[in-house]
Parts: sequence; structure tokens; C-alpha cells
Amino acid sequence: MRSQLKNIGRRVLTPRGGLIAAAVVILFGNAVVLGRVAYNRTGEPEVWTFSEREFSQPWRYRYGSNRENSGMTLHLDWQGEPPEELDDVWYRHAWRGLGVEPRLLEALGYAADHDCDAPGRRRPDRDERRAWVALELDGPAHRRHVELMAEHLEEQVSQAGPEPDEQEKRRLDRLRERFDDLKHRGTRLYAVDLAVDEADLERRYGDRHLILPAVVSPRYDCDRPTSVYINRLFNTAIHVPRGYRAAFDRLVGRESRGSRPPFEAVVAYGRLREPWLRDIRPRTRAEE
Amino acid sequence: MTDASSRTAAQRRADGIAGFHAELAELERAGVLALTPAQKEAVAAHHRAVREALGREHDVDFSEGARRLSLGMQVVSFLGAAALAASVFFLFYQYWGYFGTPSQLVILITAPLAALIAAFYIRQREDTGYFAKLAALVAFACFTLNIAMLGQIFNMTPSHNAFLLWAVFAFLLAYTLDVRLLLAAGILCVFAFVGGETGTWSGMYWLDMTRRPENFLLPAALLFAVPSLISHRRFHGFAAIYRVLSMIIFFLVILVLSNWGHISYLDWDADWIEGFYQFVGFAVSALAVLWGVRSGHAHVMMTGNVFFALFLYTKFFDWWWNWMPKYLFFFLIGLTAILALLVFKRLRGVQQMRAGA
Repeated sequence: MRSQLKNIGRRVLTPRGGLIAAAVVILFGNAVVLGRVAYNRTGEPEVWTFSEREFSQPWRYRYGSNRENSGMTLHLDWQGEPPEELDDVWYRHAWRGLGVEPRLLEALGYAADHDCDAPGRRRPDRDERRAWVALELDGPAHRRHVELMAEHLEEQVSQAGPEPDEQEKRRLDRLRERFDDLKHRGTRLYAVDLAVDEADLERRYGDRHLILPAVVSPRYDCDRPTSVYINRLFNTAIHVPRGYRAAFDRLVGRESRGSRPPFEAVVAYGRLREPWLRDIRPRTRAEE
Repeated sequence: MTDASSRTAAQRRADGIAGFHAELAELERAGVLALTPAQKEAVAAHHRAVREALGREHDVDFSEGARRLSLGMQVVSFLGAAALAASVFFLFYQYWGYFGTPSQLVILITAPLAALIAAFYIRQREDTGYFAKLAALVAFACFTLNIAMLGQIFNMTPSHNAFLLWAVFAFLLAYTLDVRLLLAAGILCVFAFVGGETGTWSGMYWLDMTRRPENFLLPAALLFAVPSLISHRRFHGFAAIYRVLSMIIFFLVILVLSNWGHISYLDWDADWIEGFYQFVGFAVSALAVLWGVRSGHAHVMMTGNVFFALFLYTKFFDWWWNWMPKYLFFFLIGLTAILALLVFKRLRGVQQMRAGA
């Protein structure tokens, strides 16, 4: 056995054998990747139409080492359930999570709860786990968030009284701006449910929700119900091929901070839930 | 033809010949030994033939100056390869947006193939091998870019399987063209793949592999054993790379676990886990030093030495930094260095005695 292996090694490691074997690795690697792409695109894909609201800005990130990148990728912008602190303008960076039943935590392989008073330095298992997330586009989750924010704003304004001081005025202005952004410009793509198996979500939501792979970790907080952080949501980056670049550039023009020319992108999701761009077109004011 | 199977053996033979002539001159000067002119001529002719063969087959250095220049060429070759790899990457990034998807595919697939063919073509035409190695490193960079960019163009979910492909490619080029840097790249890719794969067995996401460093202990031990199980005499410096890289990974894992016990798989109290790994760190690094000295593997001895000191000083810092006056802290560090010197002096004495015997 050992001598056979040695013979194979000697044959492969000749210059000619090495060249052929290395070329085979290149071709094999590319065949596997392209085969996977072809498999993803067979059958009838799920087609989603996102507006400019669902993509994070700037659409072309041109800073640091990315300054010289001539390629272009759109990134879906999404959020979890509304946070407890509606005043916090930074919450979207800190909290993209979902409240879950303790049995889901167990299904993910975590402890259902954590004893906050337990002695010792041992921490609960917080390794990231693969999961599947259902996202809802422009549905009840977004509307509920807008309502919650409207109620909160009204409450804050009434609490501040008819003549608030300068600091309070600035806080209320920021809150109004935040509300306006949420209602008219912010993303309407919300993570609403989570499962260990993709099939579970498919059964519950069919193609009404966008189902994507994610990486989650538990949030153990003794004062709050059990929940998970959605640390990464995959397949939200959509490469813009050269064929659509001209259309996109015409629509967007010179992008500047705050400018969001209306457009919509038609994105297909295949068997492996990996996306590809199908179209970019202008959105009329009536559709907004 | 020489019987030297690797560049290391060839260099040793060339050094032996130079040493023989120097010692012969000393013996003649002292009047201990005098060869006849015919004998001298026969030895010189034989050595000339051997040196020519060594130079032709293994590109060995025949003088100190040549040896220093070789080292310089290795450094320059490494820097050149790194710069060329970065250049390939940024060149593609600068222009890929101007190509349609089919053209991007053709460029991405043909670039590593072209660099690969160039590497083998140059190898056949150039003696030193530096330029072929450089081209091989560029081929590896192109292949890495190839797979990574396909993932980006087709919006694919990231997978650790790419590391397996890169590892196989790097090993093939390293062994065929004798490129140590690619061997190191291949070994690191193996660590990334095995770390990701074992992590997913426990339900973890593969990119989170560093949160469970124990996953790297077994692969590190196995890779350390590779040169002992499979002879690497034909490959100059490969055994040292296997051993040193796997030791670095192994000891880094131990160092992390000896300070952050809560990330261990062991279901003990974190303090116990940290204590356990501190003990393992001291014991294994001390064993590495001893084994390195006994087996003549200087690189193993040096790596064990560095990590033993690191474990020791980390512990000293933990115990004393906050409550001890700084002059006393550094004085104690100095004392431990003196103690280590005494131990090494003793070990050296033993080695010298053996060599004398």
C-alpha cells in the first residue's frame, strides 16, 4: 500500500504530472462552482421586486481599498423586529434580532434559558449556528413598526409640553426625522420568523416570504424574553452585471447623500436561494 | 550525478568538500599529512566533478558570499511574489466591472492556467528556480481570486470547501516546483478547512471556527507528524515548515485556551480549564525543546523555546504585574533568563560531550 502510494506520488510529482494535476484542480474547481450556479438557476425561481428603499446606501461604496473596485454590488437592507428603545437612532446597527420561543433555542442547540445568578465564570454556549430566516416585504411588521413609532413620537411630544427646552427640541427633531425615514425612505424588509430547517419556513410561508440562510446566536438577558441575534444574513449581496450597469447609472445619476432616485430591481432566487439580478427599471411616482 | 537527494543534502555535501580542503591545508601546514601531487590532483578532479554536478542539479552555494546572496534572492523572490499576487488582485478589481459575465469567466479561468503553464515553462529553462517559484505563487493567487470572484459574481453562499481546493492546488505546486511558501499556504488552507468542517459537525457556522480553537489541535498534531511518517528528504526545508507551522498553531490554541477557558469544549469550570491548558502548554513546549535537542531539529527546539518563554512570561504577568514594583518584575524576568541560560549551557555541554565521543 505504502509503495503504491509512493509510486503514485512519484508519477504526479514529475513536472509534467504536476502541471496536469494542477490544471485538473483548476478545471474541477471551476466546474463545481459553475455546476452549482447552473443547478441554482434550474426550475422556476422566486422573483422579488425590491425598491431603492430595500438597498443600503451608498450603492457604490468608493472608500478605502474599495476606491478602485469597478464592480458593483447592491446590498439588501433589512431589519429585525422593532427594538425596545425606539429613541435609539443607532439601534439598527446594534440590534437585528427576533424574539423566539425557548424550544427554538433548544432546537438550535442552545440552553433554553441561562441562570443569571449561577456562580463561576462559565458562560453559556453562544457559538453561532446556521438557521433560516423568513423576511416579509412591506407587510404587517413594517406597518406595526411605523405605528409604534408614531405612538412613541406623539407620547414624547405631549410629555415635552408646549415649550420644550433647546435640548429637548433637538431630540424631538431627531425623532421626527427618524419617523419620517422609517415611513418614507427606510427598508420595508423585516425578519419575522426563524427556523432550524428551511422546510419548516417553506411550509409556513410558501413563497409569500423571502427565506434566506443566516447565522444566529442567542441573547440571554434576564429581564427580557428569550431572543436571538441574526448576526449574518446570507445571499443579500446582489452583483450588478455589466448589462444592467448603464441602466442603473442612468437612473441613479450622480449619487449624493440623501438622494434616492426611485428605481426597482427584479431579483430572482433559485433552488439554493442564491440570487441574481433580472432587471433594473425606473419606478414611477404613482408606484411610490 | 551526485547521490544528494535534496538541496539540503547537496548543500551539506558542498560544505563538506570545502571543509575537507580547508582542513587538508591545515594538516599540511602542521606537517601531519601530505598528499602526493597525483593524489591531490585526483581528489581535486573528483571534487570538481562533484561540485559541477551539485551546482547543475541543486544550485548549491559554494561560498559564504554566494550563500548570503541566495538568502537575499529568497527574500526578494518572496516580496516579488507577494507584490505580484497583490497586483493581480487589484488589476482584476480595477477593470472587472467593464467586462460582461462571460468575459469575466474566461479571464478568471484562464489566468491561473496561464500562470501555471508559465511556471512550468520557466522551470524547464531556468536553473535557479526562483522565477518559476514566483510564477507558481502568482498562479496560486490567480486561482484563489478565480474561486473567490466566481462566488461574488454569482452571489453564492460562502463555503469553507474553497480552502480544500486551494490547499490541494498549493500542495501540488509546492511539491512539484519545490516552493516552500506554497507549502505554508497549503498547510494554512488545510487548517482553515478542517477548522470549518469540524466546527460545522458541532452545529457551528464555519466562519466562527476561531471561537472553538480546540478544533485545530488534532490537525496540528497530525501535520506535525507528516515529515516523520513520510520522508521529505527530497524537499528542501519542507519538514521544518510542517513542524514549525503546526507547532505555532498548536501553541497559539493552548495560549488562547489558557487565558479564556470558557471557549473550551471541556465541561469544567473555566478556571480549571485555564489551569489545565497552562500545564499542557508548559509540558508540551518543554518536551518540544528536549525532543528538538535530541533529534537535532533546531527549528523544533527554537519554536518550543519561544513558546515556553511566552507561557512563562504570560503567567508572570498574570501573577505579578499589578502588585509588584516594575523594577522587581523585570528583575525576576531577567533572573529567569539567566536560569534558562544555565539550563541551555548544561544541555549544550551534554551535546558537546556526545559529539566528542
